Amino acid sequence: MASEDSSVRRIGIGEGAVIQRPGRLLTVGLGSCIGVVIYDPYADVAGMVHVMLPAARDAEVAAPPQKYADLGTLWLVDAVIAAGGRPAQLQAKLAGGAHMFTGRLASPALRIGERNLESVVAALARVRVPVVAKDVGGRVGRTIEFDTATHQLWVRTARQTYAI
Amino acid sequence: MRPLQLSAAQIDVLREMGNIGASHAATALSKLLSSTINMKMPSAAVLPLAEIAEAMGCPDKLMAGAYIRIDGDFAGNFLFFMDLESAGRLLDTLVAVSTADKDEWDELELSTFGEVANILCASYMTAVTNLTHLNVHTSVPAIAVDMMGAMLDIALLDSAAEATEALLLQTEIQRGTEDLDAHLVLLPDPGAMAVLLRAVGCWDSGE
Repeated sequence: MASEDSSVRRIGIGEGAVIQRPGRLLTVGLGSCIGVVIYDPYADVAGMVHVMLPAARDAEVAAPPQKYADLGTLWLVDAVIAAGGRPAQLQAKLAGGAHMFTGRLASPALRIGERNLESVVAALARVRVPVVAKDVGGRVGRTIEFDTATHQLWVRTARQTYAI
Repeated sequence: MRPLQLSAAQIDVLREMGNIGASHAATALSKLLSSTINMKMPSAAVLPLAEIAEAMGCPDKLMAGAYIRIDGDFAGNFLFFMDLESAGRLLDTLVAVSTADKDEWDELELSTFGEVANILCASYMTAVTNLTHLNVHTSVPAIAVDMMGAMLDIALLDSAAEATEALLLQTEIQRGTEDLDAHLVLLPDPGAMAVLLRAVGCWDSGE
């Protein structure tokens, strides 16, 4: 997981981007947020979005779409297709959606990971993009990096690094 | 969605609130540890949500963190982060447990750290509310030992529903000459800025 390379595109919270092979996509510190990767393994195009909230409260405040699990996922599918991906060939990999904090505080914000995940999965089902791998839920934060050459999604937590 | 429009003078006022709050919190920590706590100059900036983790330093550094929700006349999130070595020394001082080389904490360690965060948050918010004559209450703390960026990611959710930017009030504190790597962070919700500034007479009717 060599992330010092200049061809790594960093995605901030609530942001998204689409790149061509052989670049890499990186997002640091996914807590309850979800990192959604959509790629076409044959057209060598891939995109990532770091979504924060399950759904936009109303359409008016829904800009930019990349913040929302539903709109951000659909935005990414369109962006990958616009960059040359073929709809029938698209695949998705997901990571994040953790519930990290312990303690007696029962805040809805702390349980949002699960809802974010449901929303991403529902949006992908709607546009028929299969989820081929996921590393979601649990109690740990994740940093993820997608390699467009191997289509591997590297996941780094506080304790280990692995690819899915 | 309108970006936050704060003037340089208004940001200075908010930074000063952060300064006063953090000074009180540092004093509380100093008493708790019976040692000198130094505070660096606090920073205040309105930043895009995507840049906040970077602005805090290394987003994938493993830290102990506590999250406390503030509600009342204004709302926001209070966070206390400490690197694991410093947090280990803190716990050692307070409850004589050793967390050296441990990145998984037991119940006692987590709740002790949460109590420290509680005391710091209460001191910080008491100073801010004395200054502004506003009333707030603070939640119990939620605690994690994880990447700082991932903990921040959750703390930004309350701003994300309404804004693409947030005000980051951050203060680093040190213990004597030792490097105590700790951060006090206040992230007011988007609506809170007007309330805080109005309370100290720095909010013009137009903007």
